[in-house]
Amino acid sequence: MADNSMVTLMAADHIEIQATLQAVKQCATLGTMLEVLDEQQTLGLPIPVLEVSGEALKKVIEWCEYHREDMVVETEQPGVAAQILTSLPQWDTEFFANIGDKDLLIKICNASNFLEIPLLLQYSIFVIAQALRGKSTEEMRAFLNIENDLTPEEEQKIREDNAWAMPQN
Amino acid sequence: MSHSSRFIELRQLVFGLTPEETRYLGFLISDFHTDIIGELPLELLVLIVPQLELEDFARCLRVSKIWRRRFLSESVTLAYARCRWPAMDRYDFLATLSRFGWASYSFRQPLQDVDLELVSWDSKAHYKLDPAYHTGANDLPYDYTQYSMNPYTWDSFSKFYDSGKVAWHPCRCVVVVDDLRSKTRKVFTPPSGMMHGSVLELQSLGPRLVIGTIDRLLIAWDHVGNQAYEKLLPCRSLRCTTQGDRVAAVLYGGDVVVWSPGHALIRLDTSRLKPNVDISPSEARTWEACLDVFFDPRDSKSLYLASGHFLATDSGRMVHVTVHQFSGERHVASWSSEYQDPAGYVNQLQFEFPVPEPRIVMAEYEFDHSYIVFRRKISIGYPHLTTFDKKNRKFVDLEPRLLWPQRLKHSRPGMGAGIDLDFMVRFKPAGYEVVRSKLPLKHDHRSRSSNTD
Repeated sequence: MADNSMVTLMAADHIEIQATLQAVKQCATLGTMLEVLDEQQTLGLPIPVLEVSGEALKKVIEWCEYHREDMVVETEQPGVAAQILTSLPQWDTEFFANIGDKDLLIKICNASNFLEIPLLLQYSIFVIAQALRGKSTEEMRAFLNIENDLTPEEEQKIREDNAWAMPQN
Repeated sequence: MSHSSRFIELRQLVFGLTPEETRYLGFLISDFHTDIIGELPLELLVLIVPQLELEDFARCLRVSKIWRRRFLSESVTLAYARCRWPAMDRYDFLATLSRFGWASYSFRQPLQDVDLELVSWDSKAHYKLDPAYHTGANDLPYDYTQYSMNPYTWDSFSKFYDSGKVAWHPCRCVVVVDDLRSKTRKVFTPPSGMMHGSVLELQSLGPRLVIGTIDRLLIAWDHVGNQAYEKLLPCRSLRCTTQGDRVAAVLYGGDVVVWSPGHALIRLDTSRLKPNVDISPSEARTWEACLDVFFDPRDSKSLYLASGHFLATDSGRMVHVTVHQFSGERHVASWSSEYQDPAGYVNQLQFEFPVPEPRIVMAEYEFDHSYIVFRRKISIGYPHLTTFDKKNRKFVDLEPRLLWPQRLKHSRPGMGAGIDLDFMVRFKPAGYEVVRSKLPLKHDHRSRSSNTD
């Protein structure tokens, strides 16, 4: 199969997404699957990716299409995603800036883990960590829509334990 | 109705919603949905947390019960500790987090409500003499009782901070070790007696030994067990480091020796390690000036010899750094890195006078001894060059925010501070300032290296 041929992916909500084979090969999970499958019988059939929503898969494929020329990062190489970045390349910065929705960001992160795209996983983790940085506890709750289920006593205790981390007030 | 047509209908319905309906739907969904971090698989959370600052991590612990449980789960705390404190092998995570937080926070914010103590360079001690070591005031050396510190010369005498103790060198052959915990002082003199006319150099302070040299004589005082040992070196020592009962010294001439009291001197075979490149004559003359030695807190046999120098090439100035690992006296491995000097442009500026050749100094963190940090001696905007990770045995680029010059060990003359999880010490003309961590000291969770081994 030539690298510029198109394949169809089917997301969890039965949305079909077209992608070049080269882009799909950025996903180690799908790349391995395509190598194992018999080409003649599967050509043209949509590949089910039922663990990923259409919205997230669309963004993941958009990212893969842009990065399709890149070397596929070896997944065997330990800790690619664990390396701490200081910044993202410009295109990727814009890519994540356009996502806006936090749920979608987390879905992309999950999807890149499931589909084994180390670089996208590393990038999305960086973006999530950035979002948590410098926020007060209250801001984190508001930002992520979380209910505080700690009792005031428990909270006071934790606050005292780590007084250095809390804003002075 | 088939599965896929339900999805199509639902999609049509959602896209046709009015803003009010969207809000209502958001409300309905928020009932069973979704704490995205709380529901993130742990395997992803362990990748996210190492990127969080200590403060951020601590704040996450307070968000909710689920968050607290997840952020304190074993895999997450392990991942965080591995990244932040790689050499610590036994710890109580929360206590360690608090102490690190205290230590790093105290440099970022003006300290409020802290107990600041100034111990003056002074023989009329703030600290009483340790009764276990000093049986009476009579055994104090005459020099010590008579000297007075001139504040203008405070910078010229050596002082060190390590694991709750400050060692300083007030005069000639006298070494003072102050224990900040018990607020007691020990005054040491050479075991072979005061040598008039000779000058002692205070070289290093470790958790167990304090090291001084008088010409070729190396003196190790055990400031815990109150013993003193001497060893005649083949040559004068340029710099020393100590951990546990071991001492390593770089000698003039480039030899490196390791010694423990009661044992023979081990000479490392460095003959084939000298760089076979043309460095400028002034540097070639003193290869040893670019050398420093470091121990490994996890392996008592290991020793690291680090060297760093600048190389002038046609395309600008290069930074060349090397780390050699020894096991016993045997050289086992080397790692090198060479790259363009980020501040090389300074050379192109035309100065009326010769610009001093920059030097690279090497140091490590008092916290956990996990990295060898290469820094520029003459700071011109890029003081930090690179870092060697002893645990993973490779050069790494740490984020600058993880680097705090004040946290670096080896407070040689001219370096102004020492800090660890319990104390922060700043050296000043009048004396040294001590800030005590207010955290309870009942658990001792410091790294093994800063205890004894």
